[in-house]
Amino acid sequence: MAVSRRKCYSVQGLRNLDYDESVIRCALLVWSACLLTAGEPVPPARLIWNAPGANVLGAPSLDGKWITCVDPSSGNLATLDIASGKLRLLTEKGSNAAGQFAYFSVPSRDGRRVAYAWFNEAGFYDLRVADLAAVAGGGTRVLFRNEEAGFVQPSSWTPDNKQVLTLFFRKDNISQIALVDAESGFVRVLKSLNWVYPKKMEISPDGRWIVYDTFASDKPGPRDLYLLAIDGSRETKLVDSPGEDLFPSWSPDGSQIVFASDRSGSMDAWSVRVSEAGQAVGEPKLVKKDLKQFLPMGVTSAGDLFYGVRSGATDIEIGDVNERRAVLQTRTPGENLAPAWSRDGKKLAYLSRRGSENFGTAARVIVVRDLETGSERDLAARLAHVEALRWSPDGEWLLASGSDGKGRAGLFKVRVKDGTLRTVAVDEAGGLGGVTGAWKPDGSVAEPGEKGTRAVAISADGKRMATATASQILVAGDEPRQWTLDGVTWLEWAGSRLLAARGGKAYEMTGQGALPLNWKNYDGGPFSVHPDGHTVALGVGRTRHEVWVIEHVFAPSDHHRP
Amino acid sequence: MCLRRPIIIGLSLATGLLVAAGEALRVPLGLDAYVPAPAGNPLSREKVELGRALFFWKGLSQDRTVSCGSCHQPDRAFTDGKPGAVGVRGQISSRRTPPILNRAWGKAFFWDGRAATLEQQVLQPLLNPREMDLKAEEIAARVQGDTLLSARMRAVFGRQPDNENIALALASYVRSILAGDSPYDRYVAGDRGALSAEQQQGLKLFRGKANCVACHVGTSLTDERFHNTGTGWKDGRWTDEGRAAVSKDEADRGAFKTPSLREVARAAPYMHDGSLPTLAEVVDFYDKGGRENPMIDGEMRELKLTAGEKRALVEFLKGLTGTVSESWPALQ
Repeated sequence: MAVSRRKCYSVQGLRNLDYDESVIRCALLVWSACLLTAGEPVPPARLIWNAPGANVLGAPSLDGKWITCVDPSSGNLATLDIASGKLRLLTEKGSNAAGQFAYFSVPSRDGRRVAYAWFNEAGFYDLRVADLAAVAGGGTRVLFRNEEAGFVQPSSWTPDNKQVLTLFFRKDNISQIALVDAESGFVRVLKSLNWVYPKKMEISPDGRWIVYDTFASDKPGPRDLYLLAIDGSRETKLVDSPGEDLFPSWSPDGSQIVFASDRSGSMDAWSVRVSEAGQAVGEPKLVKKDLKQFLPMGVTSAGDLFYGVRSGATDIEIGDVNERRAVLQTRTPGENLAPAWSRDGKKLAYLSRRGSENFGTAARVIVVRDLETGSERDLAARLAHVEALRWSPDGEWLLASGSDGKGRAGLFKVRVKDGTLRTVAVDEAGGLGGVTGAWKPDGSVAEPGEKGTRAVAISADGKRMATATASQILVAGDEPRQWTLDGVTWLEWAGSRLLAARGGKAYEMTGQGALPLNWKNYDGGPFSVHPDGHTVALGVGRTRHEVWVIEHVFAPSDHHRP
Repeated sequence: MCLRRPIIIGLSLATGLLVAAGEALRVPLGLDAYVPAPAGNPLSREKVELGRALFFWKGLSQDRTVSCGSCHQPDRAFTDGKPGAVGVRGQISSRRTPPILNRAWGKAFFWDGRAATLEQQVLQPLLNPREMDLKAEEIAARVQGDTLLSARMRAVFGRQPDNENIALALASYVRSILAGDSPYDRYVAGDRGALSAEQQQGLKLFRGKANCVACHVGTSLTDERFHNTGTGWKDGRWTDEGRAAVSKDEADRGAFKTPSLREVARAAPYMHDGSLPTLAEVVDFYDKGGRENPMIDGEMRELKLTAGEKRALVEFLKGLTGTVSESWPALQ
């Protein structure tokens, strides 16, 4: 599938939106029961789609007969017929090679149209609508196209199918809850949020309210649920607890909202009834404990819940560059990636996925492991997202490529002792690309001067610096070299040998070109070479999405508005 | 070819309409349609217009020479052009008149944030001896003593004027003061010609190298937080404690609330103390990393802007001048 981590980067910055790297741990049978009141029989969860490239970027039709999705092979918008399992393409221009593809999508309530985000030829997302009745010959049109709001997430349709509730992510790192007219493209921004964004928002069946989750303030903290009148006249906080309250969905009759909450210490399913006036009626009710993580896609008119999970795991392996390696035994098996060795080889920093689901990515924490004792500790850095780490020569700092709490993609120094954060560089263009860099032997940071640099590595003695652009690898220093090679995402020196990651595989750059390394099950992400020059730590494993459905999740007794 | 009938959205991020009591308040381009108001003080035309009358009524100062509008002058984007606010008997404050545009979205009020809501804020200048110098019991009495105002208060609130409903009316009026529809808003909405090339360069700097967006963010270009840029520190000592006087937190010493940059070109002089007369001097101040002091904000750093980049930033800031509406200006 064409969706790449890099292209979602700036949005990750807002609070970790990243499908590609997500691990969703879901206890399916637990979840299958979570929306039932105690004592109700537990309907089985039914697997809908788990083919390679299955994705959870869409939503079910109201009749539950199909879901929207992205065609894994081309990046086109598609529908998946649930009965036959067949994909039907709704667009033609999707191309993994050309870098255009569909992303989020949601069908209209009448099932005649699909609103979707499209990564366009100019390198940002626009909002489009596909007409299902006229698809074969090109029934799509651009509804909204503005680089200033270069990431769009259509979320819900009004009951009359005339407007699309859409989340805009702007270049200045604010998100906006907006209604877009499905014919004219006229936009009405209802509410703006600085640096944060709702994980899920949805229009009530009667069209009067938008329920969404967000932080209680624009500072990091637990999320709460809010009801915003669709005419912009008022807003109320619907659910407030010390913990996380998130992922709200309306019941088909609009009488209640189900949501996830960790108020009791674990991520549980709760429900709250909603009055005509948009107020919570009574206290939220615990529906089922231990929901863990899930990715809701939508509820049909019959009350069937479609949701996504991701199966698989990623771990860290350590061993010789050219031989078999052993899995590092961590506190959180299956959740780890992007290792970085300290210069003395005694410590390993890596990323570990933690926290609630985030339409793709659980929050990542930096873990520092003492390899001699095996002890580990999490580093509390105020970063919204981290992609890669490199250890400073003096062992005091980690160089983190990611984004800060204000959504700015860049390079940051994180003090190993206490997590103190220092900004090294931010992506001044506010673009969708990440920022990369590497330590010099004197403890300063080399930032790539050239626009478009994908990866940087400096040898331990500081005599050679390798940079990867879109199509080349260049080595400057005492032995200048050059290779023509596109798609390189990571570089690392192993003594005098240069290693590169490209297309999910690792290579050694030699006089004969790029020679593949036999890294079985390599995850394609950042890896690190021990100062001995031949021991490598790398991420291994893969995850993939699956789509499931649970029928009739709302108990009949709850089908009346208070 | 799938692309049929492309609709390139130019100015479609259009104005919003706040529906209240069957009437609509037009919200300028660039602002949210949802205009927050507390449940206990929903916006209404009557309250806003009553608040406006109170806002410009000098009877709410001790010697009847000063109104809220004396310092918050509509033709100066609701500032007064002076480095220190001038109260009764010509008293001059050490802080300048703060901008009050788009305060409906405010989360803290005054330079030091000592009021959490507009309802809490609006009576404090009336009670400040250096500003309007009334006693608490005098506020309602003054209004009760004015036949017309008193009658309007009774009509709107159904009871005699008191400090509470005076605050509700004043807060409603301030909440209705909206600034938007600037070239910047039109540019962000898709009109690529709304900002000149130099202004577009300035916007890029604003968001990038100059790091302005670290604090001046959102539709009103303020994070509603408190930052120490060094303006409260001079010659090795604090000249103003800033936020710390309220929070009692040493880390807040010398920190002041980020002002909105809406209409900033019309709101000189700048900084909490009005110490910088021009936008060019403001840009110079930040280019140097502010004024070094023990509590300077972590976002402050030397910017190393070129002369051209400084000019571009100033030009961009001028592009934040648009429309300021107040009262119930566009009742549809």
